[in-house]
Amino acid sequence: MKKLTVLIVDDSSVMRKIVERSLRQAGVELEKVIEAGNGADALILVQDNAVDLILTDVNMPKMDGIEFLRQLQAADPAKNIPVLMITTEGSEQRVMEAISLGARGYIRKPFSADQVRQQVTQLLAV
Amino acid sequence: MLGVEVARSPIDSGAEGPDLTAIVGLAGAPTGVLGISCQEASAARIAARMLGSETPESKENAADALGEVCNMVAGSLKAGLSTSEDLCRLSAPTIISGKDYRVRPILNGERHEIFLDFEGQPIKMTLEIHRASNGAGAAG
Repeated sequence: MKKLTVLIVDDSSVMRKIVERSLRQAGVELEKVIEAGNGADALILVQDNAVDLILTDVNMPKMDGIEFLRQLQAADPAKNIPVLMITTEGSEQRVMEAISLGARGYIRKPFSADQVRQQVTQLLAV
Repeated sequence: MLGVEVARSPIDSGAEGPDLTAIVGLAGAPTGVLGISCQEASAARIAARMLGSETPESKENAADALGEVCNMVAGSLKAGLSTSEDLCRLSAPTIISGKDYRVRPILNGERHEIFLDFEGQPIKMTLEIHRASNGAGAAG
């Protein structure tokens, strides 16, 4: 697996660090980790960086994860970046909405490094 | 995610009382407020546990971590209490610093309060809840 540039989007800086740590514990080789506190900042970062994978929270101020996905779909070539949603809320409606907007997987907090490894491996194998 | 067991404690054994509180609102069915309070030193140790560090984390990370714990507990409560998770939404966590405050929910509902022991220090968990069956009690 090549080294990845990963964008982690969450309004909690602690959670961003936990996601990065889980990726490392899961054996994902990281070239670069970029962080954003909301969807609006993340949209700018995907235009300026060659991102291989995005992991994003749903409930965030300024721009939530669902709106971020919606706007990402309109951004070429960023719309092709695989996205994993990470959130406390697992409502079927939210999951279906995220999937319909291009999310490729869903991890519910609290999560383990094993869950992250499983999702990321599955995602990058496609 | 914390990698520790917390035991239920019969009473509030904290000599000083909590000085950091995280609050997450539930809107819909049910409607309510979940609060988790502890001393700042405990929150700093919770943050350290979450981040896998040996030493207590900064004040900023302590507040952030307590908010995330509250968020995750609220998510579990929502999954357990709501007939459909689509009928209930969670607010972003709010952090209150200090001891001298009162929460006065607008709706009359049930109040549940438990104390947990985290590494010898108390964590107070409070749930004010109104079990609306159709979402009529939803806030804004």
